[in-house]
Order: sequence, then structure tokens, then C-alpha cells
Amino acid sequence: MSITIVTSDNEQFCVEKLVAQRIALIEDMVENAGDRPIPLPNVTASVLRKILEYCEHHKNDPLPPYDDGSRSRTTHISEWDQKFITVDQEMLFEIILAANYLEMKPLLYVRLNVPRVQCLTACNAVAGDIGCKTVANMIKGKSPEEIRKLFNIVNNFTPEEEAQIRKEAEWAEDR
Amino acid sequence: MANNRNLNEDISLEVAEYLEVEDLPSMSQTCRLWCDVSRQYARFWTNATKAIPFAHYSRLAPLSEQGLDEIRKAAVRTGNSRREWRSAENVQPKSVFRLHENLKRAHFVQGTKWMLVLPLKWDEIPSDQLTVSVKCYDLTTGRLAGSVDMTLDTTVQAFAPSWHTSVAVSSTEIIVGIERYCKWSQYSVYYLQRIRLSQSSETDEITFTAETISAISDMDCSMGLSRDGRFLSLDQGGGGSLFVYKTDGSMVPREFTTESDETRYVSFHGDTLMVMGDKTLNVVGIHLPSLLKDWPEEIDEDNTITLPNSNLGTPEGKHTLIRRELDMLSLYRTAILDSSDQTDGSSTDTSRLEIAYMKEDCCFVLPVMTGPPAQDSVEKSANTLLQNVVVAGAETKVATVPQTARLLRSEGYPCQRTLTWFDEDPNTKVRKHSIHVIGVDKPGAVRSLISPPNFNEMDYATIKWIDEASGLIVMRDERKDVVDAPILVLWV
Repeated sequence: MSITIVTSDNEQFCVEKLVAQRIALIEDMVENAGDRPIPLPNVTASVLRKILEYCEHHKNDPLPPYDDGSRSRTTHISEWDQKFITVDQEMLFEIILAANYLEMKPLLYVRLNVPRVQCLTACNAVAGDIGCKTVANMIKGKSPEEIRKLFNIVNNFTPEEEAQIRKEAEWAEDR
Repeated sequence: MANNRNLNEDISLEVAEYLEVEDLPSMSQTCRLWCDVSRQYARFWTNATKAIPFAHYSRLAPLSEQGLDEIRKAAVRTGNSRREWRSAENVQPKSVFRLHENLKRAHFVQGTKWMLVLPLKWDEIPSDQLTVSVKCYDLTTGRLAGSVDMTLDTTVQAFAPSWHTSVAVSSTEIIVGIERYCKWSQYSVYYLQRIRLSQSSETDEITFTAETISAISDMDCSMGLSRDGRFLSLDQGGGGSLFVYKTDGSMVPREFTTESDETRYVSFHGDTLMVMGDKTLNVVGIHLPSLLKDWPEEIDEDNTITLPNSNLGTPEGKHTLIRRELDMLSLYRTAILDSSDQTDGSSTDTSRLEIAYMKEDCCFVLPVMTGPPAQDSVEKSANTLLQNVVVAGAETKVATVPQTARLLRSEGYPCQRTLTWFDEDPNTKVRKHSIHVIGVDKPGAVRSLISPPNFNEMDYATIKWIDEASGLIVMRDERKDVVDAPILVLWV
């Protein structure tokens, strides 16, 4: 069984239901949509193609163990996921935002049958988290200026705020 | 072009949870969004709080009572210290001061800012019950923060007590181990004391109190405490027994012996008590949670468990474990290096460790993996308690002693990755100190420890203690003609 998804740039995707069910937002919409195509006005075709590639690869994966927050988080990314997320920065951010919009975390809520609040911490393996891990790995070991340059971030601090931030290193040494 | 402006607070927090403590301040200083998130949500600092040593909090309070501002401040402090420790070509201390105390009477509680000092001349007090006032120094300021009264009972005349070990269970609770060697009887009393700390919210005054958990008489032993403070080990050494006690005051231990009578080293790592042969590097891991299951209610010598020789097939050659040796007693601690992802206090059934040893002028590490206890063994009594310890990689050369080093002191520090050495000019006795961080520096690379202005004592001193997590270095001037040479306290 398959369903049809329409992206913001009007491209149609025919997707196996098992694959689409990895995306919580779509699973919720399927029941109300009947046979009609499901619109995703916030996701472009190029991004959805990547998201579906991820869902297709992981469709038979066991769900990750429940994470109560006490375990240390690892930034390790599996080989396939690493290859999947090796994209330009624009696409990386688009994937993170799309995964957030598509509520891929609550998908675990449906599957695990655990309270939604718990499931929100049990989402380490979905595409959005791989994106966050990738962003974190890119930030590691860099200065604020290097991070700005890497992500094209505009320094939107006022001169006064910048001066205050510069003082923080000295401020922290005051015991 | 996309940038982080579209990453909302929730996604920003998600990214932060994958960053180490030294990267979080950088992230928070990048733009207003991330700055605001770091100041409004404690979750931003979740990963940092696992790594911040107690020494870096200004306020003495449980983590749950630390304000966000204080956590942020401590994280910045820890990040600065770590960055300096791991990346600088030279180690330039930010803060240095002298403390006029006898180092032999002092004890540094790892991860904290506390130095405990026993009073001098205890051995002149032939009393059945001693109440002594132990001084507590704040090593971030050099000030005497207070004192704690410890009551030790003994019915025989004994030598002055010595510090053995300690563990900070939380920012407000420390467990310390003290030995009192008895003069005429070849045995010692090992005291376990719990020190509680509290700070007045009105006056900032710190109060220390102490209670005796247990006092155990035994032959000359080395003493160890698990990181969570739940277990105490007393090891009689090669040929003797190894006792493991619970620190709940119970006096019934689990007893182990080894097949070999070679010198052995015992240390706790997460859920595992590692027992290692000196020359063979045979390693046995005792699984502590399994040990709890059938804890005897009374002493039964028939329950002694003989630990097997567990040969890892270690590489040939004459190797010497990197270890730390205290001055007063021949107390050794193995340099088994916890992997970095095991240093946040979380424990799992499997963990990866590295054993560090010297061969000639090179330091090597051998990775080993400890797994859950074996379930299918016939010798149930022993092997259900034993971790499966296997070699998990190749022996790797991680450090080479500099050729210029005339005198070498290769000391490992428990669960840490820093080696130190100095070279000394034989005519002037002036020393140059170097550190080498395993896993960061390449073999042969060293970083000089720079003497700050007006601290010429450092040129004649030796590093005696390092707490790399908090960036603390303690040195002692070893010139024989210097009376009451001060302790030098350096913060990186």
C-alpha cells in the first residue's frame, strides 16, 4: 500500500506506507486524508527526497532504547548515516528543520506506546538528531568567530554585548 | 543561504546536548539566539554539568540548587581549563600561590577544591580515643576554610595516621580513608570517615562535620574507594587477601585471593574492581553489582574466592605499570585509564579501559574491554562475579621520554591521562617540568610548565599531584636545605 505526498514545490511522491509511517506528521494525516494526496507545504522536493531516503533505509530498524537522559550522549554517527548527512550546509539545516516540522520524534511515541513526554527524549536515531549531531560535530573545537564563518551566522551582538562576552572568560575565573 | 536563524530554541538545545563542556561557551558566544538559549535553559548545560568538577563551582551546594548563572560560570571555567590543558604548547598557570603546610600531612580530594591537613605530632598522644581537628583549605583561594573534628578510637599505641584515599560522592559529601599503623603489632587500623560540608546562605561560612563509618584492623594494606563511594577495597598485596567492604558500616567483607603471589594493583573503574598483576599484566575484573547479590551476613573464610590468572596475551618485553606512589607508604594505584565517555559517572555493563605501562623509554597503552559476568561457567562461585576482560585493540605507543630528561619521574594519576617529568641540571639542580597528555600529545611531544614571575621555587620543585579535570597542579620544593618549604598550588 502506498500514499501520495505533495511538496511545497508541487512535486508528487508515491511512498510505501511502511516508509511514510516513520514520519509522525504524515501518519496522523493519512487517517483524515483518505485517498487524497497529503500536502507538505513546508518541505521542498529535494529535502523530502532525502528524508524518504533515510526512512527507506531505516524502515525495518528496531527502535532505539528508551533514553531517560541519564546516559551520556554520543556524537557517533553510523557509516550509512554519515554518508547520508554529508550534504551542503543549506541542505543540512533544511533537513533538521524538516525533521522538526515533520515531528519525526513523536513517531516513536506511536511505536513505543510510551507517554509523549518520554518519547521526546527517546529520539536519538531520527534524521533530525543526526543533523543535530552533525552540527555539533562541526562546532567542536571552534571559536565563536570560526563558528560564525562556518555557518554564515551574522554577529548580531551590540558592541556592548560583545564587550560583556569578552569579559566572561575573566569573570569565570573570579572565585 | 540557510543559516542558524531558523534553528529554533528546541533544535539549538538539541545541538547543545551533543557538545562537550569546552564547546558550549563558544556556542553561547556566537549569536544572540544561542546566547539567549544558554542563559534561559539549564538544559543547554546538561552535558557540561556531567563534566564540571566540584572545584569549579563557587558555591557549595548540590547541583539541583546551583543557579543557571553559577553553572554557566563553572562551565566557562572548566572549558577554559580543559582547552588550556589539551591544546597549549606551554602550560601557563593562571593562578599560583604558596601554602605553608607539610605536604606529607596533606591530602587532595580529587575533583574538589579541598585540601585536608592532619595535625602534626599525633604520635605523641597515647590515647584510647583521639579527637583531632583536621584543617580544610580552599585551594582556589589558599584560605583556611574551616576544620573538621575526627574521632578515632584505638586501644594500642599507634603511629600518626596517614591519608590513604578519598572520593567526593557529591559536592557536599566526601569519604576519606585513613590508616593508623600500630607500633608493636604489625597491623593497622583503617578508618573510613564521612565528611559532610554545608555553607550558610547568609554568611557564606562553611561547616565541616565528620562521622566514622567503620574502623577495620588488618595487616598492612593498600586502600581504595569506588567512585560512587559504595565500596572499599583493602588489599594485603601479592600472596595475601583482597577484601571488599561495603561502606555502609557493615564489617563483613567479600574475600579474594589470587593464584599468583606477584605484586598486584587494585583499582575501581565504574562497576568494576580491576586486579592486575605487576609484571604479567594479567587482569581480572570483579563485577561490583553482582558482588552485592549474595553478600554474606557473617564472616565465613570458606567463602574466599580465588581469582584466576587471566592472561590477556600482552605483548612481550619488560613492562612497568604507570602508577602513582605516595610518599609515606608504598601505596600504588594502577594507571588504568578510563575512556573519555566513561568519566561522567554513568556506568554500564561494558566499558572500555586502557592500561598504561612503560617499556624502556616509551609509554604504551593497551585497550581492554570489560563485559558482563560470564553466565555459563561451571565454577559458578567465582566466575559469575568476574567481568569478561579482553584485549580490544593493539598496543599503541603514546609517549616517548625526551632524551634530555636526566631524571625521569613517570607518574600516572588515577583515571587520568597526564604524565609528568622533569629534567634537571646536575650543577644548578634547576628543573624544567613537562607534561604529556595521553591521547592528545604525540609520542615525544611535551609541553613545558612555565614558572610564573616570582615563583623561583618551581625551578627546584617536583610535581606531586595533578588533578587534570579541575586543572590543579601541586608541587613541592625538594631542596634539602630549605626548611618548611611551602607547597606550591597552581591552577591552569
